[in-house]
Amino acid sequence: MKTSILYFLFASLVACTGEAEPSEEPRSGLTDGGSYYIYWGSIPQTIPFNDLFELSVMVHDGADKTKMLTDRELYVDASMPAHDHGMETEPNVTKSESGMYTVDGMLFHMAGEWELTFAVSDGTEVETASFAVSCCDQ
Amino acid sequence: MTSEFLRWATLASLLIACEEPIPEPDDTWNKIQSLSPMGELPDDPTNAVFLDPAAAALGEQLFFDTRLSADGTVSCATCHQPEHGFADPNPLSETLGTTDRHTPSVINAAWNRWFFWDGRADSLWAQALQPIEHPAEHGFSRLEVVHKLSEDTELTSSYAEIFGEYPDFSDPLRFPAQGMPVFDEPDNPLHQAWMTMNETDQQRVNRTFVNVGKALAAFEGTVTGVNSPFDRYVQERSQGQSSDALNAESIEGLELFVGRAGCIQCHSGPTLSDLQFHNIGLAPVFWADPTDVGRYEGVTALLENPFNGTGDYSDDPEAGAKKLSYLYVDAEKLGQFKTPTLRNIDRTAPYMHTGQLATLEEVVRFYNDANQVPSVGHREEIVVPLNLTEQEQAALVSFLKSLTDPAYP
Repeated sequence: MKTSILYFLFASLVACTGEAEPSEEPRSGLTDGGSYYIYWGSIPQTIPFNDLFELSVMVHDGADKTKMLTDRELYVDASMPAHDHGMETEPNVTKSESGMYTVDGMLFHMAGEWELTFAVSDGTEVETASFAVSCCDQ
Repeated sequence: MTSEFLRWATLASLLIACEEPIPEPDDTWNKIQSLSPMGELPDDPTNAVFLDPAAAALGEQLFFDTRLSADGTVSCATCHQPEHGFADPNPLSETLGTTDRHTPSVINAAWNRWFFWDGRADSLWAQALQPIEHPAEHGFSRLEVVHKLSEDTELTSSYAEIFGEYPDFSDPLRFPAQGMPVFDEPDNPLHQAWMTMNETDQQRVNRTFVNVGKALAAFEGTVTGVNSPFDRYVQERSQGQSSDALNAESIEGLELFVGRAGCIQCHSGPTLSDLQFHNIGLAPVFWADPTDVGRYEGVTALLENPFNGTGDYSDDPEAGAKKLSYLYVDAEKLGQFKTPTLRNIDRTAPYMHTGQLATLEEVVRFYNDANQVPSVGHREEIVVPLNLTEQEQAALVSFLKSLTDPAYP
């Protein structure tokens, strides 16, 4: 079941890759060292203003995006670069048996441009990927 | 398994949608609409009687009852004065001593996420208990509170209708006349008296004391002011009607508020507060503690408070835990204080946690200049000079005055 979904997801991603308009905010991308490819989504899909939300995150091999990596450590943070501050909450990352990460405790308390950063560690090296996120429908 | 599947399905739907773009930021009118109406009074799951009218009636009695103080002169209303927007017209309040910070208004306090300027309480009931035992405020102790209620059969009868039979505290060997835990002052006579009690009796006193707080909170939940000229303006305009609720100057101020002045960045949502904490860069004043670190210590105090939403006296520890789970302390919290609501702000001068700005004109000028240097922490980068003209500053003040519910003359 999960394998099927994975390939389904991958097919969807392939169909989308490279077709994003410049104004769109990507929810997938390579880490700075190129070792990992991050897919993420929010729950609810539209990030709420000043209320708790969750993220679902998958870490894939940067060189082979069909290969999901399940033995990495994931760290998540968010900040508003223009304000030079982060969130008022410290999110909690948990990993399911399937290897998907759930991040709870996310909260964007101010409207504007946020930078969502994922850090992936294999125990020795850490690579990061950051995504611009506009917040939020009030 | 079901939850896991839903997560996969949710992620799949996101990906299939080919990374739908997040909508562009709201336009001016959408931002204005985000500020009104206030909506329903939020319930407090940690307080089972929060919406109980009988509890509110008892709480109202207690709110104005000066017997709950060391010298019989101080009640909640001593600082939260109804004729001054349930706040205090003085920068700091004079009770048995002098308060450390300016007294915030009770009006609409139920919409807060955190309480006190430093957020060291997570519910109205937990907030209400602290001034009673503060030596410079009511100067009372929880044992004195439960004994004082015992003397008044009307109060104990009201209590019994809400919380069940009022406990018997008449045995002086089990229940000293005065006492409360003061763990950082082990030699304090109040603490020593408290420690003579067994744990079961301590819990009985705590439970009764907490119920006093929950009744007070129920009353405070009825102190609302949500129908301002601004609300009428938004309602009428949203319905496509013309509106005379705001004059031209107030409308100019409103547009500045959500636009170039950027006030909405922190004063957001129907409460006109992001319910969070910021260091806006206030210079120290001689009557307030220049080393006040605000939220930096507030987080720890909240997590250590046995009366927080996760504790034994919470009516829904799970809900309380959800609120507290993600708090943390770092240096950015130095000198941060809670963003106050701006509703009814015209009735609650002076302003800021020190009460150092006497008028709304001074508040707007403070943000317009943004040139003060705080004694603790640093001014957030978001607070920059606004370069507003005198007319624009006056317009902002005019808008702020339109946020007052006429119920508070």
